Formats: sequence, structure tokens, C-alpha cells
Amino acid sequence: MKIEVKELTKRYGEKEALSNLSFTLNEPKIYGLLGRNGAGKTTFMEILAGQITATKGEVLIDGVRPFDNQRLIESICLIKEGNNFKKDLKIKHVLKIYSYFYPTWDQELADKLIDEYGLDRNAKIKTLSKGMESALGISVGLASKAPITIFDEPYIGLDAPSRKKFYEILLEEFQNEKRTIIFSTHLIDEVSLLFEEVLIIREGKLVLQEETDSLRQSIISVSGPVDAVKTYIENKETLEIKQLAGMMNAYVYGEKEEALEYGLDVEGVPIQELMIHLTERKRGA
Amino acid sequence: MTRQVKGLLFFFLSDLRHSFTIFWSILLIALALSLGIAYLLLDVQDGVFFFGFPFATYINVGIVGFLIVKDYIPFSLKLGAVRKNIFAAAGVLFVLYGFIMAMISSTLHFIINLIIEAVGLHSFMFLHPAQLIGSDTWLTRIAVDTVMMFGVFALFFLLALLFYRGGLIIGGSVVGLIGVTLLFGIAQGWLFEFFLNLYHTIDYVFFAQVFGISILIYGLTYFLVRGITTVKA
Repeated sequence: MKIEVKELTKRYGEKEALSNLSFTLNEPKIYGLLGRNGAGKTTFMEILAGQITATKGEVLIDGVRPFDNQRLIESICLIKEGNNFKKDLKIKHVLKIYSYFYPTWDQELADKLIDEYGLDRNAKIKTLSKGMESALGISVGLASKAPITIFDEPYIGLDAPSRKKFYEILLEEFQNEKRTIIFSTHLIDEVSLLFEEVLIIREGKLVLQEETDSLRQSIISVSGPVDAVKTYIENKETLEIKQLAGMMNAYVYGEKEEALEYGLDVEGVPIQELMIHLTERKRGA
Repeated sequence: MTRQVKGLLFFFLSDLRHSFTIFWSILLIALALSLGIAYLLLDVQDGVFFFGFPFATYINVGIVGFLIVKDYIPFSLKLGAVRKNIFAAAGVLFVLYGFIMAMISSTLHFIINLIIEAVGLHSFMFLHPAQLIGSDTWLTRIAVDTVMMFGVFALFFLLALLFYRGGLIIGGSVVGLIGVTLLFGIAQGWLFEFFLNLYHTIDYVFFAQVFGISILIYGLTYFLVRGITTVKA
């Protein structure tokens, strides 16, 4: 499903959570939606899922507005970091309820995940720990098999082995059946290998949208003597420059081979670092 | 019934079951205590204890009508429900929940009446709006209660929506306006006259009118449900 975001703006009183946000997600991929707290990621996801309305602009899915459109809304499953389920319900009720709302619901997968995470089907939501509630959210999101599945910080409180299991199942499911997965997280290093395309939002605006592979190739970290680095980065777009004791380190849009010719040390830039620098750079600009 | 409406009803009923059980447990304890008090009044001259299920059940449905908006609508939207289905499911719930409440209370009313007749506990009496139309049977009590509870549901659903969509300013203004109108009615006497007149003339037509007005109120709520989001005003 093609998602078009056109000049999307959302205001809460005086505060602008989204500001003329525009981009297109063309094909089923795992997208990383990154940004600092308050960047507008959750607001965008809630608009996409038809839970709230935009102040201006629009979101189109295959050319149609999803707001209150049953055919499209049941193709979108949004799992947030908490408060996804009503507290008095039992896990078995939650699974049954979701099965009514998603025509693509996979009960077998839901059962497998519930067993995998050791959840008691008769337990009430209010008795679950944060990690267990996150495990239920993840299970529901994956089992919904919704063509557009959105995870917004879905694993608060979940331990490392459970998160690893989630990544494995997510990839397995994605390989079995391609779907658009939009993933927002602050544990970027942990999941960056999953992302096929990355979108970085800062203060409600898109600052970067690029395929992860090309991003890794086009932005490099170079270090070496100050003069050599300065010569290399001349006329190139740099994200960050650090200088210490006659040595310089720069994050720069450039090619590895060319940098090596200048006698510089070259490394890749982790996506988490990139996100930090991209959002910081603009903040200071 | 569409899959989503079924899902919403399953959601509402699964979640309401707990509070429904608590409500009836408390009401049954209150009924048992009332029967005990009535027994003590047997030796008291003209001592009678009145008990009315509707006082409790109508308040309960009012609270549920309010909660549907405050708690259930945001979660329904998170589940992926569309507004027209939320509106439809709420309507079905109002009728269904009201009917179940009416059936339980009327059946209990019937059974307790049989018992007090058998044991001669004449100091205990039930109160019910159906007595006003002179037809206090199991069936009329169910019909009257279902209609009245649908009305209470619809009214509180509307008020809750006004608070949810319009915030304290609009919701509070409407409630304030109703309060001031009632105070005027009391001060000028027409409210008292209305109820006195109603008491003398009440018949089936009145409950039919209540049902008609309730449907109208419920219909009006569609315009407030139509654009509702997970964010309160």
C-alpha cells in the first residue's frame, strides 16, 4: 500500500506537533521512523491510523484518506508503548476482540507468540508487568498481519532476549509476507539492521528519508590529521566536525574510496549517531 | 450485524461484566437487608419498607452511558473501529443491556413477591413505574424498564459526548442550563404541576413518547460521534 503524506500539520493549541510534513512510502518495507522525544512521530502515527485528525494537509493510502474508512482502517494496526488495551480485559478477550477487527488476523501466530512470551490467557491486563503488556502488544501487532503495521516504542520494559525474539519473528513474518512496517524506537542501534528505509523527523519536519544501504554508503566518518580532513571535506556537506590535539573527525557525505586516497581512517556512521547529529545540527542552526 | 459491531459488543460486554457482577452483588445484599428490616417492621403498626430496583438500575445505566464515551470510545478507535459502527454498537448495547437489567430486576421482583406472599411479609413492598399505569406485571415491568433505561442511556451518552467533544465549557454550559431550567420550574411551580399531572394521567402513551424522544436523542449523538477522536477536548 502506498502512503502519501502531504503537507501534514497538527497543532495542539499554540504548539505545532507536525509542520508541513511531506513524504511518500512507496512499497512494503520496514521503515524506521526516528526522532527525538516530541518530534511528532506518535502524532503522525495516530493520524495515519485514523485516531486523530490533522489540522492541515492529508494522509492518503493508495490515494484515499484513511480517516473513518473501514476498508483502510482495518489494514492499519498501531501498537503504542502503552495503554493499548483496556485494563479490566483478560488476554484471551483482547485476542478475540482483535480477531474481529482485522480480517487478516492470524490466530495460530497469536497463540504461538502468547506461548513464546509465556503469557497467561486468563490474566487481566491490569495484572501484567510493563514487559508482559509490551509482549502482548507485540503479539497483537504481528498477529494482526495488517498490511500497514505500526510499532511505536512497542517494547517498554521488555528484556533483551524477548526483544531479540521479537526482531526474529518480525523478520520471519516480513519475509513470509511483505507488509509495510513502520517502526519507531529509541533503541536505534539494536534495530537499525532491520530498517530498509529511515525517516528522521525533527520538530514536526522531515529532515531525512533515505534507504538504509545508501545512507550507510553515502555518509561516512573520517578521521586523521586536521589538514588532511579539512582538504577532504572541502566542498562536501558535513554533519559533525570534532577536533582534538591536531586530529579531526568528521561525519561527511562522501565516498569511502576517495577518503582512503587522502590517507584518512574511514568508518560507517551508526544510524543512532546519524539521528543524534541530524537533529542536533538543525537545533543549533 | 457487521464483524466490527460484533467485536465492539464483545469488547463492551466483556469489560462491563465485572462491574455488572459487582452492581448486582451489592443490590442483592441491599435487597436482603431490606427484607430483614421489613421483617423487623412486621410488629410495627403501619410499618412498611419500600424497595425499588429502578432507582439503582437507572443510575447504573446512566453511569454506563457516560463510561461508554469516556473509556470505551477511545479504546474502540484504537482497535480500529469506525465511527458509524461505534454509534451502532452503542445503540445495540443500550437496548441489550437495558433489557438484561430489566429482565433480571423484574424476575427478582416476581420471585420475591411470591416468597413474601407465601411467608406473609406484608411489611415489604416493591415500587416500580409500571404501578402508575396499573399494570405491574413481569412483562410490563420489563417493557417499561427497557424503555426508561434506553432513555437514560441516550441522555447520559449525549451529555458525555458534549463533555468529551466540547470540554467543560460546552458540557458544563448544557448541564448548567438544564439545572437552571429545573430550578425555574420548581420556583414557578410548573415542574411540580407537570409531575403531578403526569402521575394522574400516565399511561402507555407516555412510555411510547419517552421511547420516541430517546431515539431522537440517540440519533442526535451520531453527529457528535461522527468526527470523534482519541483526544478529549
